[in-house]
Amino acid sequence: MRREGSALAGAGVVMMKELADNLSSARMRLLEVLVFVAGAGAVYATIGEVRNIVSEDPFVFLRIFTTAKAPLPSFVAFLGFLIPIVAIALGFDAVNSEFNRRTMSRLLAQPIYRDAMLFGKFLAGLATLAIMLTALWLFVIGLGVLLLGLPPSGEEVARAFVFLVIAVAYGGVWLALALLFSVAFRSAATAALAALSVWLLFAFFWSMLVSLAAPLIAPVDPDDVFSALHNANVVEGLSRLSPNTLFAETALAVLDPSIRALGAILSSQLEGAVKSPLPFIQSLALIWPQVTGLIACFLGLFTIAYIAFQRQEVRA
Amino acid sequence: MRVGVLVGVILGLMPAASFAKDASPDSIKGLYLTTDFPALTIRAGEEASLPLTVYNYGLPPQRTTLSVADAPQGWTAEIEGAGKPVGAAFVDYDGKASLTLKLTIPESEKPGAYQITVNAEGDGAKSALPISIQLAPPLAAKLTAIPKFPMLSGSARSSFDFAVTVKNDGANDTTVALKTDAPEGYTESYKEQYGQQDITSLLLKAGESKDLTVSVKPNPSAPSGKVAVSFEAIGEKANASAELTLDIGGLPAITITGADDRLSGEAYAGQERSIPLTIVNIGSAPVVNVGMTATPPEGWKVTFDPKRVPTIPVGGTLKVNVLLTPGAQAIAGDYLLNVTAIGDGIDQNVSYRVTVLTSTLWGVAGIGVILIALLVLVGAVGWFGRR
Repeated sequence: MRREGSALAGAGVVMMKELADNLSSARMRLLEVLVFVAGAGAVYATIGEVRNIVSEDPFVFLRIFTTAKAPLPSFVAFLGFLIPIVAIALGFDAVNSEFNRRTMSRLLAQPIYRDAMLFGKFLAGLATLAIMLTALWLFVIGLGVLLLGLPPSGEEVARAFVFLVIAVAYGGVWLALALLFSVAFRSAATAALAALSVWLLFAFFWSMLVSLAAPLIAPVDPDDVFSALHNANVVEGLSRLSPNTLFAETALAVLDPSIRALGAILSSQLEGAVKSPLPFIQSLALIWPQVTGLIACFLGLFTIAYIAFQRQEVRA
Repeated sequence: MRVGVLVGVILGLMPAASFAKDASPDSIKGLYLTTDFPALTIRAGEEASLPLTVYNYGLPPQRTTLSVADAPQGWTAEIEGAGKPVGAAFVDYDGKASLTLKLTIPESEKPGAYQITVNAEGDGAKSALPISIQLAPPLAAKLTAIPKFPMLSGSARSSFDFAVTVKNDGANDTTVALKTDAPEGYTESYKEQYGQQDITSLLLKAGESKDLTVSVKPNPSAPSGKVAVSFEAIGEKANASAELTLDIGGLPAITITGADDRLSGEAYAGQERSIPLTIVNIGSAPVVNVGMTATPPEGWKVTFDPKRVPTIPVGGTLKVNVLLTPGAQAIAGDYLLNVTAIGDGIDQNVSYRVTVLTSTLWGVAGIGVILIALLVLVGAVGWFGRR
């Protein structure tokens, strides 16, 4: 029987309810403390470093995000690591917990479509993530103003804001993946483990797999320069299948204006080049393919989750 | 007896000489004050010194008081012995004392004949030495400046080094200040010949001459032609001047500027862009046969319109369009493009900063990809939507 009216009717209600649940749950509290402590620690260590090294940089404020102070990784690297965990924690039991608690049929007895329920849950997760990341972002900028004693310039704020949007999109990919698993597996533990293993694969093993696979696809001939270039391009292409790589490249290029290209370039392309910061729009043009990839990836994953959910029997 | 004979022989051989030698101390007795030239001509303002000698013939050793009488008002007459002013001398029996009379005559003294007397008075003997002085008018202070080569040729950007000899022909030492009257924008400097240091004045003793190098640098934009400059040596009482001539030959010189004096611009990768440049001849001669070249990075294309012009007159401008196509694979960011204008005798080059922008076409393609993903989602919602 065909649906009447909008698929999104009621999605707002579900989203607000779910958001309230998310924000007040003990799980979120723990994650927030973890992310804040890690982020604040990284930034605090970084600011000492920034004050020492780079005082002549016109984009010194953005260095807070990208400079690493051993043994702590940079703030961006921390986020690349922690955002997937938070997103997975938010999404891995979104749908299957309703089944396990036997509340699904009660929920769907309300005058809402099941589309609306899925949309609402996804949007609630994304909103939770966005609230958390925005708070963290403001916290870092405030800490920077306080400890560096200088306000960020307009372009720095714009670049940092683009970075925030990218971080939310990156979280969206992992949230969509966790949601997909929560639809696919009835056991929450299985869904969590599946999502975490995908995260492990991309966070730790992907670069190893790429370095193993690339010579098989594009063997390097020592006598042929172009085979080495082809190999570099294959490595680049394969590693960009990982959302972690996309996020790292994007964050780096938008936060460091001196980066003019991502990936392998020929030295002839740098002939006559002058070291200078790239205009903001050009930095955006540089990262746009990666951003497109991230957004398309989370839309695609959500679509699969949606189709899988729509085809499920919910009355059991 | 043999000794007596020998003495007699010697006496016999030189009777006159022996007589003369023996006779003087006996026949002349007394104190004598003498000088070589008791009548002399000196210039007012000069200092004169006369050697004096006091002889004591046949008197016991005695103290001789010395004094100068009749010295006109304002004159200084001083008797010196062994370099110090003295008032008396001690003269031995048959001995002498050498002294010097130092006379300083004020410059204002009228020329004419004067007489002073120097007196030496011993123990019962005395001598007076009258000295006639013909006072000549003082020598006029005089400076001369003679250039070795009064005309030199060169370009507007070279330094004209004149060798000038400055001589003090006056009676007095003088400090000489150096000055050159040159047109606006010219710079001048002075050095001692073979000297390193720039000087602005020098000390010339009476009668001394010094070789100087007078360097005149024309205004770099000075037109060609002959320019006369006047070099002056200004002493305390006399001046000297020398006319120096700079024969400036014409020299072309150009500047290259962009629109609004900017040497930077933007260009999209792989798309042709026209950059207007202006070449101005700021030199003093026409620029002949001007050609434009550039050294673009690999894969870039640079052409000029016009590529070559026969001449740019003095003060003339030439507008050149640079048609620039950055390589299609160029990475966004700033690049330096060296543009050179080469003519006969000139070679001017500027660095033009090109900000390469990449096309936003791929951005549109990215939005297209996202739209397709959204459409798939909406399609799925439509297809699978059910109650």
